[in-house]
Amino acid sequence: MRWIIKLDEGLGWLSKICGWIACLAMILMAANVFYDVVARYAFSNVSIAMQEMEWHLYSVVFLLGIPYALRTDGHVRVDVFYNNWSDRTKAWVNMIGAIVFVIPFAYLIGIYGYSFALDAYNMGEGSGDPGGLPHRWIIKSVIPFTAFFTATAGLNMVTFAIRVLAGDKTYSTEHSAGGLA
Amino acid sequence: MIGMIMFGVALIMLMLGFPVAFTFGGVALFFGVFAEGMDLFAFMPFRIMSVMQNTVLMAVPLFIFMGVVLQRTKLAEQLLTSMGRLFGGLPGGLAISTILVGALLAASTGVVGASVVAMGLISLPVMLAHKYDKRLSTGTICASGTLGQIVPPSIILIILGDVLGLPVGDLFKAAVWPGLVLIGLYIVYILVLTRLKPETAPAMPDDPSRSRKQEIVSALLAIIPPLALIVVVLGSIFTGIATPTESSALGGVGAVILAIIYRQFSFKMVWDSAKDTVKVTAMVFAILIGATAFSMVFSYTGGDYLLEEWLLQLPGEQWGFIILAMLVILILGFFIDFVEISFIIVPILAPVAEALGINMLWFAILIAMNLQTSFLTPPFGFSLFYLKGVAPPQVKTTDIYRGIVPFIAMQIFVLALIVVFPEWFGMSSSY
Repeated sequence: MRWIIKLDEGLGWLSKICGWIACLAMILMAANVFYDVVARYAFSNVSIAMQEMEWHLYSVVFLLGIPYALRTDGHVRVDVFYNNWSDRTKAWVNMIGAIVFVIPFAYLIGIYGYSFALDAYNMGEGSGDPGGLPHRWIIKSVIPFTAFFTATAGLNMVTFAIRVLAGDKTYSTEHSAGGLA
Repeated sequence: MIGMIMFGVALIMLMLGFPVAFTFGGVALFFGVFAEGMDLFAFMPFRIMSVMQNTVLMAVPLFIFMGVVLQRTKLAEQLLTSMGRLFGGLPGGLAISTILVGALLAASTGVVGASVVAMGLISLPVMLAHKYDKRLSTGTICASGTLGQIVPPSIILIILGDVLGLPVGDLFKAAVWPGLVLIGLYIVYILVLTRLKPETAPAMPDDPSRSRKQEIVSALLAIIPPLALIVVVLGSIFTGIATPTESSALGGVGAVILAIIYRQFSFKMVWDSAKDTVKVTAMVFAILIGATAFSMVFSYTGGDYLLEEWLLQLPGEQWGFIILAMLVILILGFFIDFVEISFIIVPILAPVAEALGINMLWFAILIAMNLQTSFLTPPFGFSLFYLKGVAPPQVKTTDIYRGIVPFIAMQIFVLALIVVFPEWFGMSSSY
């Protein structure tokens, strides 16, 4: 049991790092888009590289946010029955769901995402526009990285469910999807 | 056929309560690998890449960020207390002020959960203390808090714009009238109800410690900052100065400036807002990725072809289809929420609508109006849950369920108006 707790906390830490990077990217992205608007209208100055940076940051926000949201139970559930179930039942749902759905799905995206990024690296792919950002493989490799961390977050759901079953942890009853949109 | 079976299996699996995004993705994976083999999923990175380069959807996290920051500036609280004092002296005044604040919040923050919670915490106790009917109070709060779904800038409209390939600015413009009509109808309902049954919403006694003038000044002071932000954000989109994505960034920075004005700014506040934004954004986009896999398998196994053929054969030309589409979305809205419906159901309906010569802008507004009810329909409407979470114990779940019924009826009425008389709302039903 002790190593399960260690593993659970280690995996949780990985997801939190993803979340931390995504938050940083979020703030940078808001500043970046704002800067580009002001630069365009106030100084009629358009930088292709800065504009491409916008979607690079935005990709990091929503991709690396996925494992973070898994750890913090931010993904919306249809919780009609779920909310009324005991922690034991919830633990089984989360454990089986993670093994059957999350990990295989992340695995498939991961292997195909890896060759997708590798192709871009081998071709030396860059932006199609003059003045755009080079090294497209860097942003493309965020896809396999996200898949990897989503898989570890899935494993994390399993370890957490084991801790719940052992009576070491409980699921918080907070309603998911916190105040969407 | 495989597509239809997959659809049924996914709906049943959803009821287990595992996160929606991965339920769709996982079910798609099993059916996809079984029917077409693993290599079908080699397309997934390309699909994800096209989402990454989609600058329209970039507005989603930015508008969420703006809403979350505004929510932390205590804007809702200031508006509710000052407007409540201003209108409280009228019969039904507290309910009307709730609707007006709901409309202002909808056009600025657009965060449904936060609006409902703020109103539930601030307006509901005041309404109950002044002997307002429990059902009327809770219904008003849920309905006004949910206005953010139709009043621009709204996340639903951005997502629908992307799914249906329409300019988001046009959708925002088209949604203004339906939103205003709905708000007007809510107010008329309160006015009529207070005439017929004055005991449901009595006037609040005047507070002698504050003069009328003070009340007006404090209400104006509370309204000006969010109104300025609405003018900047919507104004820059409607005049074509900025794209919705650009104006969402203006809104985000504007919200931070408001926070400084309201003395609520701190770096921790911005960081916490970023955290909330990342969580909600990841939730939406994870569903998009799961739905992409799902739709891919659905169309590769011929599901969309079957469904399209069947939908095109419906009687009554486009009307048979419109009625069926609206009923399906309304009924699904009882169980799943707008993100899943927009990413899974709408892409199936869209090509049929196009083939029938339906005006897509009109169709999009119908869907948005319809999806708004999914927040309010018992037993699984989000807004009802949020209100129940903060309501005092004497308010029962059944009060909330019953209170919302007239407002759902009004929404369906406006939806029917837009279906039958699109020209009243500046739209047309066909090209």
